[in-house]
Amino acid sequence: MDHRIFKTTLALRFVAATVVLVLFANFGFGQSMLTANGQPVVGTRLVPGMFNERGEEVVSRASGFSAVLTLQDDNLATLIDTGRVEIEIPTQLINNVESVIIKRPLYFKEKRATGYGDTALNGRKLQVKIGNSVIERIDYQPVELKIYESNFTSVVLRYVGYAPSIGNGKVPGDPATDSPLLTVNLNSGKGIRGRIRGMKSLNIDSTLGKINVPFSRAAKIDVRKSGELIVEMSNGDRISGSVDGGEIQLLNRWGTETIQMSEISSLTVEQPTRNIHQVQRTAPVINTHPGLHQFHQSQQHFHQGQQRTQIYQPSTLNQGFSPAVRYPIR
Amino acid sequence: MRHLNSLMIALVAVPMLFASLNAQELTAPVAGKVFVSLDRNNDLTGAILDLEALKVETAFGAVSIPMSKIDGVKMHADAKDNAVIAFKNGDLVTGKVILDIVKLKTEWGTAHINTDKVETITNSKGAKFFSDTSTGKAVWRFSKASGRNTN
Repeated sequence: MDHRIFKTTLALRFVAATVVLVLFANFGFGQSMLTANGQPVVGTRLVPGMFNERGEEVVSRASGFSAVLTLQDDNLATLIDTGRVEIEIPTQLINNVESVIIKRPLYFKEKRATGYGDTALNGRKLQVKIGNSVIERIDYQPVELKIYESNFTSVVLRYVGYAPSIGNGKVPGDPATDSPLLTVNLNSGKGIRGRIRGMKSLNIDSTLGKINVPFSRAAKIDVRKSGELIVEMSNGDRISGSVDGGEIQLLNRWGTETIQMSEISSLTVEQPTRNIHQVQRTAPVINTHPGLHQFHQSQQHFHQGQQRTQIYQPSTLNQGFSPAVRYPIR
Repeated sequence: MRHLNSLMIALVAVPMLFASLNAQELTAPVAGKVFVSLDRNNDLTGAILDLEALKVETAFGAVSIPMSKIDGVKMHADAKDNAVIAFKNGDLVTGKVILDIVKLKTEWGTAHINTDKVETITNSKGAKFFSDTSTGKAVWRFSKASGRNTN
């Protein structure tokens, strides 16, 4: 009995530390603000015409709560390691939670994206399946999972290590007109993948003068605090310089984001996988025999693998988890 | 008297003319002392003459790089006989050097070196180019001095 009380107390502490349930009055289709730790977090809008799996319009519900789960680093590590994080729903709110917002303590954009949620009821626990796609996404902006079930007492986040149906895994943009796929790392430590709209190259004022650097030939671009760029080309060249223009538009799987250059720490370009055979001379090797000096040349064949930044590697596959509810990205 | 004046003028002018010619030959080097590594393990030390800027055909077009901005040049860096130029600010640029002869003022005289024979030119004795494969791909890097200041 004592053990159960202790467990419940621990769970409540965890909830108090990480979950903020906010009641927002639903005056028609008005916009409300959510708060976390007393700070305004996100705006939300209930959109007319959303239906649950029984075809009922969900906006007609009189009230609703969002469970905001802030995943600290240790929570996230636990989720990745154990595949499970559970949050309790206070008894008096059991029938009123309509969505779960998963966020990181710091996130780049002060808005949340609603995506597909693969959920299932297991007794009175609502299981939400999240994979690398969601992890990657909450590294950038909060994720809201709409839930059209009720009467559950807790929400269980289950890490399944692969990208489920969220966003179809496709990055929009046209390789013919937009940049190659790249990972934009932000000064906040977060990152997001996508293509820069309408930009195949960078115009840099460099030590060589004004040059045009195609993204396709760059491997990584570091942005110093001073605004100076250090471009590492795929052949090993390093060129420093500055660019005109203060922002980029990144086409990512969840839409388009405008990012200020001052917010970027680096851009890593993903090159298509291909084999490159390159002949390269190395430093001369001196023959130890007096009077005999030879140059040693070697041919190095190497494989250039795909360069990409992946936040978490898939570890498990949960084939038996079937989605109970799916709603389109807003 | 007129002939005497002409003789005096000649006596003054001729040495000045020779001095001028000599000075032209001994033009002060632009890049200061450099260390040139040649094929067959020959090394030369001296000052590069008559070369204020290095013309290079890069992937970004033809550029003229002031020698004062260069820390080192590695010739024959790849199969296409491109060179790698190391800048003082740490930049590295690959391109084809447009230069036939390097004139080097040494302690024993002026050497005219065919650039085909040049392996590296560096500003300091300890500086060197080395192959870096840490990224899984072999690229040239430049170290300003042995064991430190790796660019």
